[in-house]
Amino acid sequence: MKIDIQQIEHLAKLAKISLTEAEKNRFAKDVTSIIDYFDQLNEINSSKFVIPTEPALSEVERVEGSQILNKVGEPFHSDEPKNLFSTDKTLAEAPELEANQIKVKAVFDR
Amino acid sequence: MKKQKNISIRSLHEGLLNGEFTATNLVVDFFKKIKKDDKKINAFISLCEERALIKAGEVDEQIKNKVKINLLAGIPVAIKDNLLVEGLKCTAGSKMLTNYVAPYSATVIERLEKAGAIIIGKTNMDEFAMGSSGETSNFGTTKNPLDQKKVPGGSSSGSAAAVAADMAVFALGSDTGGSIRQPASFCGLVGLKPTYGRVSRHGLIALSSSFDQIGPLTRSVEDSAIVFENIAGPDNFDSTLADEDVSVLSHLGASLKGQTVGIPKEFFVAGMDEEIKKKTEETIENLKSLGLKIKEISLPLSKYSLAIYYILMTAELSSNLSRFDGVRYGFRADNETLLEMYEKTRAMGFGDEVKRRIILGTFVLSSGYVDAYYRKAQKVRELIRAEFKNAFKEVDYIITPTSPCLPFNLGEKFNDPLTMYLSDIYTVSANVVGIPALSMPIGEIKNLPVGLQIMGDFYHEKEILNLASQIEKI
Repeated sequence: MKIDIQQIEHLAKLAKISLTEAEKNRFAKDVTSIIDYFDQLNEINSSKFVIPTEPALSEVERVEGSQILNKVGEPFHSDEPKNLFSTDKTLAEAPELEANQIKVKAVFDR
Repeated sequence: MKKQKNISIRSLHEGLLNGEFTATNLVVDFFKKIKKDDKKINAFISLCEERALIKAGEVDEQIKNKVKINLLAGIPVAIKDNLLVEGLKCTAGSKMLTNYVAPYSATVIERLEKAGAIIIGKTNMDEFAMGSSGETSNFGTTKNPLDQKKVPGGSSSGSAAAVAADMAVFALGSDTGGSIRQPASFCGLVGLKPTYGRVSRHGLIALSSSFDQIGPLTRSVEDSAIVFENIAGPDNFDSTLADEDVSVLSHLGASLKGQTVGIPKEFFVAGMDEEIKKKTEETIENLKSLGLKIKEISLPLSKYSLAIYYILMTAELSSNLSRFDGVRYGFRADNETLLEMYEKTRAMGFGDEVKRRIILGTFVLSSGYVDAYYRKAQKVRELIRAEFKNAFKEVDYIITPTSPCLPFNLGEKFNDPLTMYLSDIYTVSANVVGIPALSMPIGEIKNLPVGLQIMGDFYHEKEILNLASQIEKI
């Protein structure tokens, strides 16, 4: 499948990255060749197969093999507030602060 | 620059206990070496000499007071620059995080430091761990210490180079599709990617969360086992972790009699360097002397692992990297509107490969394509898992080369993303499935190291480290 410049522009918009014309051209070419490589998956018929992790499909037969999912330990810990990160150190990383709050341009037009 | 074979964690530990040298001596020596050689190699992005000397002083004090110390106490370690160490810069090899200072430490760092290991610096890496050569770093390319015209492999390029050049005793890396094992192979080291769910990723800058795993790059299998025991095991901050026994050291040297090694025929086909193939087959032949049975197996779907990997990995990273938007930390490009700020920040803060993969990941998740790519890949991933699970009913280990090629020249594959991606072809399966895998050196071709990959069943680090320790002695 050929990915054209318009598709790259659409994807860049979704990903919130502005691209130069040179990048758009290059990525259109690169992404096309990589997706051609991905298309080898069309050789596999997986239409009857369901993803074991999808709860809505729990009634359907599952393929064994997702050992990762049933071997995990206790995934939850007690919900107690702890001081893990220093507020000062964390805020010190923000590009712009005002009154100890992270400052950005307005989200909505006035 | 030949690496010093005689350095081992255990021998240094004994030297410290016997008073042959102090932890401070060790740190001073390693910094001398770094200052002398790293201008050429570029393994480190930042160093922390003052901090290391303070920590070494603490270990020396403990030794003086006859406090029982861990094997890792006083041992200099290099840390991949995507692992947070409180108070130190953590760049992930990106312009986006050039000045980012970690406000807390990763769980693996806390564990290493609790054991007394001395962090000496943060190592160079492909930007956000996206690369197989170290060349996508925003902090310059790292050279392979064994041949400076060659890449050290990636993405844990600096971690591998630092150990291979004797600038650290061991290093931590992260492995999403081979980023520990391939540089270990290229630099003649042992690299372990533990089972998915073994080592906490808390404090690791995420690439792709269903693949990422942290592990050691070491000179020997025993060193690898020592580090693994110290970093593995449950942690409240990573819910994927299994409560499985992490002891491996005591198992090294256990009998292998009656066990079976599987050789997947699909891995030994076109695309593999003939000499690597020969070297691997020689090693496999030698395994019989250890009492092992060799069996050819078939993993027909494994040839799709690379496509599956690049679909799911880019999908996950396109989501994970959305946090780099110039708001809370890292680089911000100033602009008129909030949206322009996001778009410019990401345009200026990310390098070429990162942008390419974000675009790819956005594509495979986008409306109209998500079923054909993302969901299809998830399904095939489960089918590949089932295939490996079945294989481990017949065999105890699966052996392949780590890399289809020898360390390649700097710049050789840089402008062809797909060719670069193909260098991960043997390593990605272990990440797709979630099983542990180790790369170890098995000799040289044209003075360049060749790596052997050993994969084992889930949580079988003990078994693969044992096999590796015995291959090491052949």
